[in-house]
Amino acid sequence: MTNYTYLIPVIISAIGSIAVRGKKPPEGRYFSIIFSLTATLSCLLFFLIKLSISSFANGIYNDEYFANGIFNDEYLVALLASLLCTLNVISTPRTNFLSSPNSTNISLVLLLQALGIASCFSNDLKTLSFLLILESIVFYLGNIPPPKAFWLIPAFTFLIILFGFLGLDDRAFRLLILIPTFCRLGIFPFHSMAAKIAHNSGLSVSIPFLLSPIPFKLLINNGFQPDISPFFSEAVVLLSLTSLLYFAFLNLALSDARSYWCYLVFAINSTILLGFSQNDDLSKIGALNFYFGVWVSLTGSGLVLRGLESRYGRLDLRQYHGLYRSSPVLGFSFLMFGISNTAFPGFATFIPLEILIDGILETSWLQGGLLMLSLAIISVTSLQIYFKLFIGNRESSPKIFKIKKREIIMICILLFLSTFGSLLILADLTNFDHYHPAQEVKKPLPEH
Amino acid sequence: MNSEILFLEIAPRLASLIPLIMLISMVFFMASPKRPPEHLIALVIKIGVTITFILLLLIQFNLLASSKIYLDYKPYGEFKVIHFTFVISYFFDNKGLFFCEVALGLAFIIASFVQKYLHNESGYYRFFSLFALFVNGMVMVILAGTIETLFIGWEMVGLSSALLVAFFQERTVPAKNALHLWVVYKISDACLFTAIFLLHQTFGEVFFPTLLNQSLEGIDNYEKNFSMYLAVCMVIISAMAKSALVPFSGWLARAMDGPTPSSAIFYGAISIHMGAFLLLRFNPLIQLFPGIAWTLVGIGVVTSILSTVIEKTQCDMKSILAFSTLTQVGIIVSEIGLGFETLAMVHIIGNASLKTYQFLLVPSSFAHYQSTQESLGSHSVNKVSIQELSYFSSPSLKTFRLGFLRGGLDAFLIDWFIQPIVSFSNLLSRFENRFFCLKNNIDLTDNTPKN
Repeated sequence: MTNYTYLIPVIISAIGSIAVRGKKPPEGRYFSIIFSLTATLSCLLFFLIKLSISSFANGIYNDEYFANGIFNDEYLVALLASLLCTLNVISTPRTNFLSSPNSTNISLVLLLQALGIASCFSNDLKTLSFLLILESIVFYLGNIPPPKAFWLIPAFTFLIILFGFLGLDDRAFRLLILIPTFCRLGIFPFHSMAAKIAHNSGLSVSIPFLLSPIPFKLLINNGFQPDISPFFSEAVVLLSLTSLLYFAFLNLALSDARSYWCYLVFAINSTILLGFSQNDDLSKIGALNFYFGVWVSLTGSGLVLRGLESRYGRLDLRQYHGLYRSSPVLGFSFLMFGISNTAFPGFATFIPLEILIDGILETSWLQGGLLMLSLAIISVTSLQIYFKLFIGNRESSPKIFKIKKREIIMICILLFLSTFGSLLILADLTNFDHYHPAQEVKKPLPEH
Repeated sequence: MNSEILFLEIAPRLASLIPLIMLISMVFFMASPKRPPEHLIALVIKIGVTITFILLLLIQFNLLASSKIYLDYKPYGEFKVIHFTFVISYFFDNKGLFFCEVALGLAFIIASFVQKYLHNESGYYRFFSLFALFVNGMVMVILAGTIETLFIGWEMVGLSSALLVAFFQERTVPAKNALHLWVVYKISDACLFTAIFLLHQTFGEVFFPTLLNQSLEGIDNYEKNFSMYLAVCMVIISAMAKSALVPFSGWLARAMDGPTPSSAIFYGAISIHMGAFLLLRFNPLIQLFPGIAWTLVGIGVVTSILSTVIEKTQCDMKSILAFSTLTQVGIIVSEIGLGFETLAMVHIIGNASLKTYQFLLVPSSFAHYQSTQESLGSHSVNKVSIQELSYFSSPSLKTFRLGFLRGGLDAFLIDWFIQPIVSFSNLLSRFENRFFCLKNNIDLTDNTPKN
C-alpha cells in the first residue's frame, strides 16, 4: 500500500505559506511559527512512529535500522530539513529591525520547507527535477524578482523532463539534469544566478534556498556512474576542483559578509560534489556525511549572520566592526559554526571530512593536496571574517539589540546538532553498504 | 575495589574525560546569557586541572610499581569504514605522564594568576573558555596514543592559541597578528594531516608504541620506505611551524600581543614545545633516516643562533623572553636530532617551568626593578650595561640589522606565502566583480544597508 503520510507535513507547510501571505508582521510571524512548527512536529511524530514500529518488530536496539543507514531514512532527513526551516522562521528578527523579512518572504520560507520535505521522500530523478522547477518558480511569487536569466533553470529542467518522458536515453537524462543542478549548487561558472538571489533576497529566504536538499538528492541519485562516461566523471572532478579553488581564494578578498556566506556555501558544495564525483566508495561516504554535518552548521552561520545584519545592516568586511561587546553570544556562535564548517575536531563534520580527504588522496595526490589547500584557506577565511566582524572598537549598542530567547533556542539546537549530531553520523558511517553505487542504480524506485 | 581496576581502567577514563567536561562546561557558560560569578569559573578550571593531575600521578605510581612500561586506553573503541580507521587512544608512558603533570601544574599556576590578573576584565570568561580548550588539546597531544588523537589536540591548541593572541578585542593589530599565526598553524596542520595519511598507508593504524617496533623491524618495500620518508619530512615541517623554528620564527613576536598569562603558557611553556614533543614521539622514525636527523640538528642550531641574535635586539620584555625560549627550543630540537631523548625531555620541562616563571614576572618587572633600586640605592643596579651597548658595534651592524628585522623571516613568510595568495584572491575578486556585474548589474563592493 502506498504510504502518503509524508504529504501531511508538506501540506501543512504549503497551507501555512498561503495563510501567512499578506498578513501584517506580528500576526504573520505567529502564523508562520505555528505552521512551520506543526510541520516539523508531524515529521518528528512520523519518524518516532516508524522507529517504534521498527523497534517493536526487531527489538529495542535495532541493528537492522542502523544497517539500512540512518540517513536513508526519509523521515529523519525530512525532519532535519523541516527543523532547519522552522528554526529559520522562529528566529526571524524583530519587525523593527533592518532586514526583518516581510510576510511574503516568510511565506516563501514555508514553501521552501514544503518542497524540501517533499524532496526527502523521493529518489526518482524526474520527481526531483520537477521539485527543482517548483523551487525555482517559488521566487517569482516573492516581491524580489530573481535575475532575468533565472527562468532558464526551470525552463531547461522542464525540457529535460519532457524529453525524458518522450524517451530520452537515461544516461543523457542523467547528464543533462546536472546542468540545472550545478546552477542551483552554485558550481563555478554556473554560480552567478544563485549568488544574485542570495545577494538580493534576504538571508531568511536564501538560507533554505541555497541549502535546499533537492539538488543534493539529485546528485546522490544521479550516482556519477563510471558507466555513463569516464570522460564525464573526470570533467566533473575538474569542474568541482576548479570551483572549490575559485571560491576558496575568492572568499579571502570579499568585501561583504553576506557574499562571504554565500560563496562559502558554494565552496562547500564544490567539496561535496568533488567527493560524489570520485569513483571510490570512501569519498562518496565522506561527502554524503559531510553534507549532513555542514548543512546544520552552514544554516547556523547563515542565521547568526542574519541576526547581525538585522541589527547592524549589511556588514562591510573592509573594516573591523567590533560587534563582540554588544553581541557576545552571536559572536561565540558565529565562531562555533565557522569552525564547524571547516571540520574542527568535535563537530559532526570532522570525521566525514577526514574520510573524504583520505578517499580523495588515495585516488589522486594532486586532488587531495588541492582540496587540503582550499580547506586551509577556507579555515583561515573563517577566522578572518570572525575577527573583522567581532573585533574592533565600537560603542555599545542599544538594549533592544540584546539577543532574544528564540535566537538562543535556535543557537542551542543547532550547536547541539552540529556537535552531538556526530554520534548519528558515526552510527551511520559504520554501516556503509547502503552507499554502494551499484546498489543505487539497481535500487527500485520507491512507490511515491 | 580492586586497585588494578581503579588505576588501570577508571583513572585513565577519568583523566581523559575531565578536561573534556571542563571544556563543555566552559562552552555552556559562554553560551549562556547570564554569566556565573568569576571565582566559579576559575574554580571549575582549577578543580579540573587538579583532579586530572592527581589521576595522572596515580597512573604513574601504578606504572612505576608494576612492571608495565606503558598503558593504553581507547575510550570510544575503534571506528572503521572500508579501510579507513579512526581511533581515539590515550597512551600513558612515563615520559608523557611526567610532561603532562608538569604542564598541568603550570596550567594550575596560570589559572590562579589569571584569576587576579584579569579580574573584572570583559574577557575573563573568554580567557578561561579558551584556556579550557587549550588544556584539553594539550592533554590530548601529550597523552595521544594514535596520530589522529594527536591531530585533534594539535588543532585545539592551535585555535586556542590564535584566539588568545586576539584577546584584546578593542584593538585590531592583535587580530591581524592572530591571523598571521593561524596561517602558520594551518600549514602545520596540513603537513601533519598529510603525514597521518602517509603513515596510514605504510603502517595501517598508527599507534605510537607499535610504531616504534614496526619501524625497528625495517621496511623492505621501497615505495613504503619513500612514503615513510615523506611522512617524517611532513612531521618535521609541522613541528617547525608549531615551534616557530626557522623559517617559521616570524610569528613568535606577533604572538606576544595576547595577555601575559597566555604568552607564558603558550610561548614560554607548552605550545612552543609541542613541536619538540611531536619530534620526540616520532624520534624512532626520524633516527631511521640519518639525513633527516642531521637536518634537524642543523635547523635547531640555526634557530638557536638566530633567535639569540634576535633576542638581543628586542625592545620589549615579552619578545626577549619569547626568543630566549626559542633559543632553548632550537637546542632541544638539536638534542632530539642527535638522539638524546631523555636530555631533550628534561630540557623541555626545565625550560617550560623557568620561562613560565619569567613570563609571569613581566607585568611586575618594573615594580621589582624599582623596589630593588630603592633597597640598594639608585645607582646600584645598572640601567644598561656598556657591554650590551657595544655588543653591536660597527663591525656587527649587519648582525644587529639581522636581529632587528628578526632575520627577515617574517617578511619572507609574508612575501612568499601570504602575499601571493592575497594577490591571487584580489585578482579573482576583480574577475568575479566583472563577471558578476556583466551578468547581473550588481557590484559586490556595494554595501549600502537595505532599508
